[in-house]
Amino acid sequence: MTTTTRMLVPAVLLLAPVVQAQSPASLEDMERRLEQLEMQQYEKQNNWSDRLSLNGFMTYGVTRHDVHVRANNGEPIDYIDRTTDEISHRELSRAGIQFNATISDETSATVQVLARGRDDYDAQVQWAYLSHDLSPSVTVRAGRMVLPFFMHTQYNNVGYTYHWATLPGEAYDVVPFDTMEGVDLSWNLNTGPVSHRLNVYGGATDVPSFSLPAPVVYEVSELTGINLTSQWRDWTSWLSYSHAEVTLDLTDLAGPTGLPVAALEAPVSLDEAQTYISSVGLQYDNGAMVLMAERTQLGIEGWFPTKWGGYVSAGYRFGPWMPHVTWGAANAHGVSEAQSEGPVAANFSAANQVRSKSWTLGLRYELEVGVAVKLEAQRFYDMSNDKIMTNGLFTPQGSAPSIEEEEPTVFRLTVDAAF
Amino acid sequence: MLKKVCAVFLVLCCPALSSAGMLVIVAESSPLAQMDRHEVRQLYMDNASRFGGYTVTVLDMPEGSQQRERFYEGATGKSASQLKSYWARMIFTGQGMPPRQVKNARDMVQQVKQNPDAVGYVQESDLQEGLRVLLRLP
Repeated sequence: MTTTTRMLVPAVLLLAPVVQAQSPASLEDMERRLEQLEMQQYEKQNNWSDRLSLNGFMTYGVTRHDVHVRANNGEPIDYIDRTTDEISHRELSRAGIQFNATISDETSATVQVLARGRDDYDAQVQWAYLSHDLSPSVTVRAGRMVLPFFMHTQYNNVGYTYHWATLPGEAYDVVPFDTMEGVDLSWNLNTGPVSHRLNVYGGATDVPSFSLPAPVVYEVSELTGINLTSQWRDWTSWLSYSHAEVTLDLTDLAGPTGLPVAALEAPVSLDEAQTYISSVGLQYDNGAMVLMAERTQLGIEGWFPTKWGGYVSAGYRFGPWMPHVTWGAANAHGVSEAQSEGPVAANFSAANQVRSKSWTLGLRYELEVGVAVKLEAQRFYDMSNDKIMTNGLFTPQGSAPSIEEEEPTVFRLTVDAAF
Repeated sequence: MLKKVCAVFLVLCCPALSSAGMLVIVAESSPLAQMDRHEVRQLYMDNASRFGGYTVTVLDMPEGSQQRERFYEGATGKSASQLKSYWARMIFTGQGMPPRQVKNARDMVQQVKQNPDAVGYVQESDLQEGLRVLLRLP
């Protein structure tokens, strides 16, 4: 019995003689009325909590690598532009909060705000959309959404949802896409025992890049995509294909590179270059064993190299413990073809190439429902061959010596929560 | 001596009682007649609003309750933490919200009885008149 109901009991009892005076009421009647009052009160509270919901997630993490040689400028070698050989408490740490308001039975509004340690906890809106159910199985959304390029991209900041401390870098850190402004439509359907979710979307976004001599922005327009998630028993498959037109004005690099503006115009600058991003993935989870594999690819017309990344991962749950192992790889091709576009394009193409393989060994421990502690080590190798000379996802060769002999390993420890 | 034997017998029986299967229930006035395990799994994992051409409201026990853990273990084979991870993916990508949670078993019975659209679950000992069992989970 709630406090309010407790207060209502004396009120009903006080009123009882009055009610009795008007029409004799039995004890059963009184009980029924009390039950109705209790129900009305409950429904009021229920309506409020049904209309608004608040959810959140958080990660505290520490990371560092073990390569102590220096880059050509004397600075530490970095992994994905940020992690160095000193412990960072900020790189992996982040917090997010999501508000969801039901406007009607069919319509709702959602806002998700994310603050990342690596951005000095400056809050960014990752999701802000209105959602409307056209039918029980078809939903349309409009606003800002995280791009659904790959199998785990849309929840990549919610560390609790996967077994790694970070998603495999070869697949997820090669393409720095984040959010878009646009519309998507999802259709849930069943074919026999297999359930599917088909999602199509369209929008636009801007992607900053730091792989050239100065920061540049890829303007991504006419962005459209389709993806299909299919589930059968313990198996889930993922297929996605996206298409966009990319415009990249590189004439601002004339200052930092000392090159004449004419050398940086098209075909070095990209004007609505045809671009595709694709991914195919498979997951198996029978409650104890987890298997995952995915391959991602990015291709931009012109001098930009075609990049692919992928991983295969396996883990097994022993109560709250889950040891896991992952093999990842990334590669690029088309760098030599870029020479036909001139020496500047060939140089920029080389600056965007990638080659890397890695083994990740990790352990996840479920502290309690909603909180997980993860420890992992990722060892990189095979970052160069006779065509491609890179340092993988570390500071590139040209800006730093080759680090392959150093047996580069990245260590991570995170505590992830979802609530 | 007899008391001791009874006490030992009760203690030995308790784990068996606590792992007894859960019952998927609707109100007697519900148009639904039966459901198989696969359908119950789909209904709860999608928090579906339609089933077999009828409108449904899926009700869940509170997070952390033993009955909820037993229900999901029987219906989906998922532990409480796997379920949490699954719903975190759904919530934070806007693909769905989990079923509404009632306060306790008494509340579950009351709400299912009063709402012909509601689908819920209880343990055998909480079964009452006015409720219909759609499925007995292992």
